[in-house]
Parts: sequence; C-alpha cells; structure tokens
Amino acid sequence: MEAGLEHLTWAGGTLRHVDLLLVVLQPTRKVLLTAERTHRLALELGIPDVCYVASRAGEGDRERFEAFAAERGGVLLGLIPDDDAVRRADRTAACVIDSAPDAASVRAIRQLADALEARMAAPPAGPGGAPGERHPGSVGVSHA
Amino acid sequence: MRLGISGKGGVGKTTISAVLARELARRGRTVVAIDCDSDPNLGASIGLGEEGAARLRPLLDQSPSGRSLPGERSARDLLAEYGSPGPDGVTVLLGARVEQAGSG
Repeated sequence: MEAGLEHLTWAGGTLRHVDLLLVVLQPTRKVLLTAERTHRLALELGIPDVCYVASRAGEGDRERFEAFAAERGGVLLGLIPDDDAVRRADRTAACVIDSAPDAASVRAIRQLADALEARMAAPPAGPGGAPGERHPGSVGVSHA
Repeated sequence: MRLGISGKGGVGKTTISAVLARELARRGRTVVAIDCDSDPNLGASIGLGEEGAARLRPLLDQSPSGRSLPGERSARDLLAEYGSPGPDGVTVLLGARVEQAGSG
C-alpha cells in the first residue's frame, strides 16, 4: 500500500469515522501528491471536513499551502516551523511539549489547537453532508 | 470530536499528533489518542517512554494462527482493557503492531 494512505484503506478505512481529517503538508511535490490522493479518498469515504496543516514550513510557504487547501474546499489550520527542539526531543523519545514547552513548534501546535477547536465548533456543511454527533468535551486523536 | 491526522511518511504526523493530544488534554478535554500505524510510535512520542510504549497491547491480535479483533463491547470497556494512561491524562490506544515478517 502507498505510504501515507494505509489508514484510509487498511481494515476498511480506520479513519472513515472522523469528523475532521487533518492532512499534514510539507513543501515537496511528493507530499502534495499524497495529500491530493488523501483528499480524494476522504471524499469517497464521506469524511465531512478535510483541513490541512503545514509541517517544517516557513511563512514563505503559507500562500502556497493556503491555495492548495482552498482549491480542495478546505483551509490551512496551522503552519508548524522546522524546529531543532523537535529533533532533540526525538533523540530521547521525549515529547517536545515536556522538553521544550516554549519551542516555536509547540507554540504553533497550540495555535493549531485553537484553530481546530474553532473549526469543530462551527463546521462547514461538508461534502459528506451534516456532521454527526461531535462528542463535545472529548476528543479522539487518531493517526497513522 | 473525532480527529484524524494523515499525510505522507515522515512529514511529522506523530509529533503533531502527540503535542496536540497533550495540549487538548491540558485544556480539559478527555483525549484518547489512537495509533493506527503498523509501526507505531505515538505512545513513545506522547511521553509513555519506550518501555511504556512497548507494553501497549494492540487491538488487533496477530498470532501465527490468524488475526483477531476484540469482540463486541462498549468503548468504555475497550479503553479499560487496552488503553494506557499517559501524561496529562491522555489515554493511548494502539491499533496494531507488526511483530513478524509477513504479517501486518
């Protein structure tokens, strides 16, 4: 199976039940091609909202990613900078929120959390129709 | 809310998922973080430690005789049996872990 798509196909699509699929982008052509395929699979599965976050990206990439998201009916919810603090945390399998709580990447992910909470509170009428019950107060973060 | 995170290998899904799970838990949400990767490392990234992450029991049992998922039961019971408590109260759940060549 293609890298990055397993969770949408494996075991009947383990991510098909999400309210929002957040696709991680990076400024490379291959990553964007995977994101494009992911977007199409998500539509087929009826996922109601597909949004994007840019990883290891700079402000200079923002316009490109915003355009990519807008062309697919989604929005860019965050831009996470490349950050040595993440590499240092990875060396010891630590979470960067513990090892460097004020790192630029952690601050950016806090902003991403703000944007996600706002989007979840007021979701668009997505291609999958009306969103289901959203379990206010709890969240399941699943990833592959 | 049920949030899925995807993207090409190596883009930073695990790091973003781990920090996001921790941050949402600190905001008072009940967070269950589910790793759906067959080569999982979300547990370690969230801060379970390598040993804690290695102790996670995957939902998908892949014994030589075949694969099986837990039988019908409530989400609460599944979490009690398979979930592992992590920092900030995040519960970590593992979908599957490839232990042998030829499985997965």
